[in-house]
Amino acid sequence: MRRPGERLRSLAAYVCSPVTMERLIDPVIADMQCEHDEAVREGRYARRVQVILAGHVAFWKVLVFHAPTCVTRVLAERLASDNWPIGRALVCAAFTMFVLTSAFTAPPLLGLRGHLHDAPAARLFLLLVPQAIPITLPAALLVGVLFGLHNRTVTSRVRRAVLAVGLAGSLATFGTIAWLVPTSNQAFRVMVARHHVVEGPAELSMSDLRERAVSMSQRGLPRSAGRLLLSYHLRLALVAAALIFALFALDVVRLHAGRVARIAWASIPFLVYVSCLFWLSNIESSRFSHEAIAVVVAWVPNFILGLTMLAFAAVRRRRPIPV
Amino acid sequence: MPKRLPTLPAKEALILELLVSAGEMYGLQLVAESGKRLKRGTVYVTLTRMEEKGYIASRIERRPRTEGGLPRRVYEPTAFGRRVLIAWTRLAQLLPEFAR
Repeated sequence: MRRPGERLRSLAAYVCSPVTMERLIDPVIADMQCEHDEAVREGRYARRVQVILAGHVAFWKVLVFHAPTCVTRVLAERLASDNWPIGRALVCAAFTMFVLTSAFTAPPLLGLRGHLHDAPAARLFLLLVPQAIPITLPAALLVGVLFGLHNRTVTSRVRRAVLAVGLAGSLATFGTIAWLVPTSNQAFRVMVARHHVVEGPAELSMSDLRERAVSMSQRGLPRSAGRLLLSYHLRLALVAAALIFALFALDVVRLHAGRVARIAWASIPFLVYVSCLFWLSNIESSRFSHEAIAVVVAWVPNFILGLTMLAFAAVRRRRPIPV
Repeated sequence: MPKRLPTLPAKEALILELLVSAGEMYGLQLVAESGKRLKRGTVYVTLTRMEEKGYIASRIERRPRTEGGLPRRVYEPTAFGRRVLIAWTRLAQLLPEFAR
């Protein structure tokens, strides 16, 4: 038969260190078991129930009081050690993403200050956040991997982890671009205008955007169709950005160069990428109404980054890191 | 190790007083003896902190093999803990507004 507290102990063993188990959890459970045994010996059923209840409450209180210390200590130890470079990269990426998203989101809101009337600023801010994510997420992964893995050995395990993080970032970007951005953009426009506004290309879902491009093409409006088709393929190309930037950062980390040189090698392609993206999203041409041309043009920034990665690989092969 | 003046918050002072008067005690005994001033949910965290500070030491209680369950942890004051308590009590008498 299980003794009281055994289940709690095995649960705590999953999350607590052996020292925490020995110093905190075991004394709580041991005291509860001793009290329980005394109540059983004396035949006091009500006391037995009371001891179990009080013991459970004490256990959870101990866990809650100790959790912040435990989590902070484990996080600090892991971030400082060489064994968890990907964790450090993720923390760095999260911080960068927070800063960049705020920087991208606040200026448009401040620019609209005079036209907001009584619209809640916090809600408007939240509605603007999704449209920043497709750009800030790749940038955050770039910075995170660059600083998180700085001066650390890039093992095959780290490479696999970066690949997984990049893929997860791309999936998150797809979800944001496909569903979140159109909905939140439209909600923002309606809230600011205070009446219904017809959706523009940025407010259309992926399928609606494609349908509208086909419809424009059928109506003999190749210029508008081209703009919409390019916008559709730019969104798809942007989905790959998180993965590409994560892998690109890994390539920069593996370069045999100083910190400043690495930052330069990472930031120049990023700025070129973003400039290319903004330029492409603003140009119009009837040629883009051809699917193949739209695809090639939309993927140009990714191709540029891919070529840069190949160049880095060639440099690494020519100048191997001394062992 | 950096030398810093030891501090003794009210709960830690109470635990030290109880341990000095009784010699050694379990966590639950301390709760019972404190007259509801210590709670069973927080006493273990405080005891661990005091042990890290070097005010108290603990050992695992020896139990007969026939009794099942986990052995209890017994706490006792260290010489340093006793000195800190004495110093703190004197300080509390001299500067009551600082030693609350």
